[in-house]
Amino acid sequence: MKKFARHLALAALALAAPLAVTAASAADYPAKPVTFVVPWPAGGSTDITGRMTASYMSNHLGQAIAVVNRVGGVGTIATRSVLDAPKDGYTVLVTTVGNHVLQPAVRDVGFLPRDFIPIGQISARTMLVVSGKQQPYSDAKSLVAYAKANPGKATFASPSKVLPWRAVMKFAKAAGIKLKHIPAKGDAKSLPMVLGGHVGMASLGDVSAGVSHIKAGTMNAIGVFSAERHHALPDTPTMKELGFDMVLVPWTGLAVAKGTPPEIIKKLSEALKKTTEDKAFLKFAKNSGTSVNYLDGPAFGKIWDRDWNTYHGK
Amino acid sequence: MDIIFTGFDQIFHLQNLLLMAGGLVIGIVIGAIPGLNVPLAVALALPFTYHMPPLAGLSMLIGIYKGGTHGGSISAILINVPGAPAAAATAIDGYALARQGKAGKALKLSIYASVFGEILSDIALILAAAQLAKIATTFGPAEFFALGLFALTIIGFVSGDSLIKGVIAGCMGLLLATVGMDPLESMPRMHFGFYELTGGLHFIAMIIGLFAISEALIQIENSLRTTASRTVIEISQKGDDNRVTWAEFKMVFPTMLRSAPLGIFIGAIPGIGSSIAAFLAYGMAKNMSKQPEMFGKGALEGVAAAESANNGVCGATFIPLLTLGIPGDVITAIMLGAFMVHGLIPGPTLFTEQGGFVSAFMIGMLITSCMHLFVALIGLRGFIQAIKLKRSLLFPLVIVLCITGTFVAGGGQFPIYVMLGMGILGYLMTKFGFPIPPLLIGFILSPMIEDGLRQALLISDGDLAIFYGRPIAMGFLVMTAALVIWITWKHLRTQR
Repeated sequence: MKKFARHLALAALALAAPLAVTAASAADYPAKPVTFVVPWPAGGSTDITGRMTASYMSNHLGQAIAVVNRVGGVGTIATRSVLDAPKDGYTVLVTTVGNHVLQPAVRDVGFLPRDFIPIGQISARTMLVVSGKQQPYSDAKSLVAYAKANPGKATFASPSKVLPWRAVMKFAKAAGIKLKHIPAKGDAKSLPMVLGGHVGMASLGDVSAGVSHIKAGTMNAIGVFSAERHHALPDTPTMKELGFDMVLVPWTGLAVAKGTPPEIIKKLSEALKKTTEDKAFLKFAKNSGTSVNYLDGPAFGKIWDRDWNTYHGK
Repeated sequence: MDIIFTGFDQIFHLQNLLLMAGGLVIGIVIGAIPGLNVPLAVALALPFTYHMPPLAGLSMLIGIYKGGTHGGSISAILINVPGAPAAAATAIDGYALARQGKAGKALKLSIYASVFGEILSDIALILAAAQLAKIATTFGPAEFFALGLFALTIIGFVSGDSLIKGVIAGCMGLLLATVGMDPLESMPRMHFGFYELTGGLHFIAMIIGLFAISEALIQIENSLRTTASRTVIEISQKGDDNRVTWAEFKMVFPTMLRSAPLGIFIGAIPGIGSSIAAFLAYGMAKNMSKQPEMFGKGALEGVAAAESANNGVCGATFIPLLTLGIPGDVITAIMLGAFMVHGLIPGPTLFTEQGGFVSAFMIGMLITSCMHLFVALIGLRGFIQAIKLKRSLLFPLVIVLCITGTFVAGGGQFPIYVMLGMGILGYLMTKFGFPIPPLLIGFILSPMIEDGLRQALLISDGDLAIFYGRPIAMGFLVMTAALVIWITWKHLRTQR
């Protein structure tokens, strides 16, 4: 009987434990470790940004931050899982334009960008198009000339329905040429195809994948989609300089589910702002090639709306 | 030459050496525990390396990678549960040996074969990285398709008694891999309305379910039915059963000498991976053996082939990573992150700009491989003690670890359901005599075959000349056809 009573007490304790956690209110947030959900694989550029931010932001938030990667469905599984989690600020999405705006713009993924509340933008990246040495073109001008003479002959590799794909399609339309898209799962798949001459070009989500090859002369740079030239590739022109008025910038930032209490959002926003001003964080970001570009919540939300208008129904 | 000396100078620090050894221990333990997996261990260790000097952090990650690739074979041999997918081929003969009381022999052989494969692979990386990197770029979509088809023929060697059941299991694997995103159009398919399934069947959950949960169910059933043995296996007390004799080593050495280069070749091509290398080597060893009928019943060559090939991949995956900046598998993709945070961008300029670092890194790989031999031999005793646990304790523990491991690796509850479902599937398959390895082979190769075929035909505008006009692709296709005919003929002949 004594044993039974002890078991009963244990069971009651076990049942009460989660209640104690839910009872924690917005006032004493963060009372337990916060989780950052990264929708892309470990070791990738979003993951590095997310982990880096988490590691420095935990000092400013006064709580430990755990990072989990939930990969799949072009980032939409993780995004949607954040909406399914309790709206208490303990689950934060490390979000990018691909999973957050582009995917809901092209298909029904069960959420819209504005189902989230923007905390702030952390960084912006520079997209790059590279071409193989064996190709009859080596820059934007010769590419356009070649593609005009041989419609559909020039090929480029990139994943489908992500920003690097969108960017090249837009470029081709503006230049009045036809390029053939060869879908490949990521930069790691498209780069060897370019090096081996199996496809003509690759559209890369970030310059870092191509810098070494361009410097070594094993690939040619066609152009970047950012507003200004990238410091690692001072000789590579922007699309704007080439006469195509397009600036496409993949961003990474933080968001939480709509319905999260405003006090919590304020605490997260302040912690993120302090993090992006943290000298140690900035130094670390520079080493890893991340361009920190902080925007506060409302400004970050405007970027969502701008990109939504660009991609939705087009 | 100078650069090699600077390399030695940079790597020979107590901190680096300790981190390598520590990494090896973590890798072997994580690899050996069913449910916990090496990519997860590397991903969890990654943030620690952000604040270490680059070589120190990478030394640890290499230790985990190498130790983990071999660690998977320990549970494969002792309880028939491969701790890593690459050890699935090891389980076939390793567990058969363990059931004969020769667990010690099988475990030691797996250590020798792994370390041999690693060292050969490291040497290939140091001496021939630039040449081997060319293979990586020669392989285009047509070649991947042809190689994928060729690799499917391994099913003929790992199907056990019934070829037709093996083929059915292989087809199930091919089919299950189509769940998720269309790889080319990025549109969801075969998800039956579950949004979690749009990411495909979580690979780790699937492996754990098929191998660990199904084995646990079978063991639980056995312990309910019989009162025979209270432990999973008995360890023989005879000295020769617990070591590899010189005669045996001489017998398996040619197999190792063939399998390690196969692993290196597969490792140099991004995106194929150590599981396929292990199975290919296993098939090749069976094909060339004087006693092919021993395979599946405890052939030493089976263990030696699988282990020297899957660890042979380890060093070679760094060839495309370092020379071209292209990660060949999940682990090297995570390690690419470890390079990047320190501003080291892998690719052709890494060798010219950071020559000293690269040579230090490569020498570090070689040192880690040598250390691996000693760390693994010392650790062996611990694992042999663990197997003395009663079956009724061991397998419930395995199930708990599997559920926890899947939850952590998959980042949610859904992968746990996938794991349990696959566990039941694996259990039923075993009950009805369907081999599980063909399903795994089909599942791994399916995306490679599908992507390769579709990309190739997109590039050629539907013209089949892209396959027969290219020597490597054509070569693999011809070999595939020949092997299929040969396996079928042999099978029909033995049936009569």
